[in-house]
Amino acid sequence: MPNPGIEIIVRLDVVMAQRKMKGRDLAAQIGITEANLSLLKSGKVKGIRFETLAKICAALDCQPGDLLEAVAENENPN
Amino acid sequence: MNTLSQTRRIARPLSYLTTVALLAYPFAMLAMALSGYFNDAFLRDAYDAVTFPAVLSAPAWGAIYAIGVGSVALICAALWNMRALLVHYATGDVLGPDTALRIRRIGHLLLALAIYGVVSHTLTVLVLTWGNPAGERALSVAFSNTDLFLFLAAGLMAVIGLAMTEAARVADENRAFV
Repeated sequence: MPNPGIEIIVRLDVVMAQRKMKGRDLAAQIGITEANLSLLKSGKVKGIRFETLAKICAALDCQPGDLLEAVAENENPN
Repeated sequence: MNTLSQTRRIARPLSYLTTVALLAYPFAMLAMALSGYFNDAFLRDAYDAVTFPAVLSAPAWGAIYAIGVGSVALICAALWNMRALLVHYATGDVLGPDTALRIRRIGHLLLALAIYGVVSHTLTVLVLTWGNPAGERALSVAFSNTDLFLFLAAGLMAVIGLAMTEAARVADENRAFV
């Protein structure tokens, strides 16, 4: 049964910091604008295409689970 | 060349043409009115099936010109919205909310023009024959193939406008995906 109180948190900024990757460089590598990357980092997008997710994982050498986390809404401090 | 490039390429000169029409049409109508083109002979030729007095009163001329101004105003409003739509298309903005709104407005204005065409004919005949003796006044309703196609085109534009509103909503949602 789906839990309506779950939201997806984007941890892209954490992984980028771990890989020491700048936003400008990552945006250029995956082919999106810096503005869109910033929106993605802040979670202000409605969704992400699999193609974009795959390019981010390739650029940062990580798994989708490293970038996205499902948390209960009342657990999210934001 | 993709369809967006084609749209921009075709829309740009059309937008210029519509701008020229929007400026020229009302001035042309005004010039023709001031030059006396819309005179008694013009009316008798346009309404040759109607019998009306040899001399029309000033209020009758005023009413006929007012009916004509209504038609010009509706056409100018339609041209204004067509121009705005074509400018959007010329800049590549084909699925924005304003383009959908413009299409709906054009549809509504074409519908208003179609209705006005029928109503203005009836009103004009009434005004022309108002000076006739009692029993010789006429009430005429005319509906031509042109009116029918204008009604259908107006309805089609209005429905397309609604569909484009939905398309704009979907496009906006797609833009929120990275």
